[in-house]
Amino acid sequence: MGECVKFEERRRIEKIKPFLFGDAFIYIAIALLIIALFLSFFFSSNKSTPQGFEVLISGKTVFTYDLKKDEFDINNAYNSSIAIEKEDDGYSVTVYTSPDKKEFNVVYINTTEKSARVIKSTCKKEYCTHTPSISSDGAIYCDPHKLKILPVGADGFTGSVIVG
Amino acid sequence: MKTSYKITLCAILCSLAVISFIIENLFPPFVLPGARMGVSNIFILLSAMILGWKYSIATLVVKVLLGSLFSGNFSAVMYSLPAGLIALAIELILIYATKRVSIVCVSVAGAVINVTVQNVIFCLITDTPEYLSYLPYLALTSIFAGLTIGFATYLILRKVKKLNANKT
Repeated sequence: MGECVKFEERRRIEKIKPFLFGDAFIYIAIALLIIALFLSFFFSSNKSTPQGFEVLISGKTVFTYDLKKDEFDINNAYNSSIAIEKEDDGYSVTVYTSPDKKEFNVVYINTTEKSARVIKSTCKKEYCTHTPSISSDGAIYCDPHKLKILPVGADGFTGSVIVG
Repeated sequence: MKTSYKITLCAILCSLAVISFIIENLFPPFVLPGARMGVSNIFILLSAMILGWKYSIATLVVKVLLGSLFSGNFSAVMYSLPAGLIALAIELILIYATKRVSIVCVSVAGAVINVTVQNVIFCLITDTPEYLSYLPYLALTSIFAGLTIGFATYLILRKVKKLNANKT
């Protein structure tokens, strides 16, 4: 450094310590906040078995899968945008999100564990593939493709712990 | 400190913040979507401590705008900028208004608030309130990120303080 940095205020110089007395109050406040968040989400959780899963693109339902009946209910407008493959433990559904079928998400519905997750995506960030699988609660959202996966039977936001 | 020197130093910190933001975006999310270390926040804290509050706000805005532009995810500005500004405001209040809070604690508080606000804004914009269930886990991971970034900032500032003391 050609010219050393000079600290203009003495107050800022005092900050150059790893721990000060006032830190305890901030850490306690943060701990209480996190405990409150965990408790509120835990007690409002929906622990029932999911009835199925719904996949939406830009708020419009693409298909729903009923776990009890083991059948898909596909929106007619998206008939050509879906490819379903039967797997050992469930179904692998490729949802094409662009007309040229270059952009897609692969949704895996595990009928044994009664859960769903995104196993492959052509989006840049791939946040959806890193989201844990959902069961009776939660959601998976792919922002670039505007794709959303919700459990059927959930009353919107339940604030539960995500399974998986 | 001369204004020209402040501007130059601010520009260096901005470029370092943008570079670290872009590199961090190349890696997959840490445990949960939206959870990351936030290395670029080191440079925002440094500008707040060395240059002042105006330059720290400028560093944050430049980092979010240019970083999102270069990483090809400009829509992230909707979540990152408001959350970053609110977190920075809280950090600046803790730095300037209180005398008994360390830089590590400031970093932790900023990290928790940043993640919380970002999560809430994301849920509001995308209409996915179910994503709020990630909030406790994100807040927990942000504590560790805040501690790491705060301690790294402390080590840099301690070195700068030594250099300054040797010169005078």
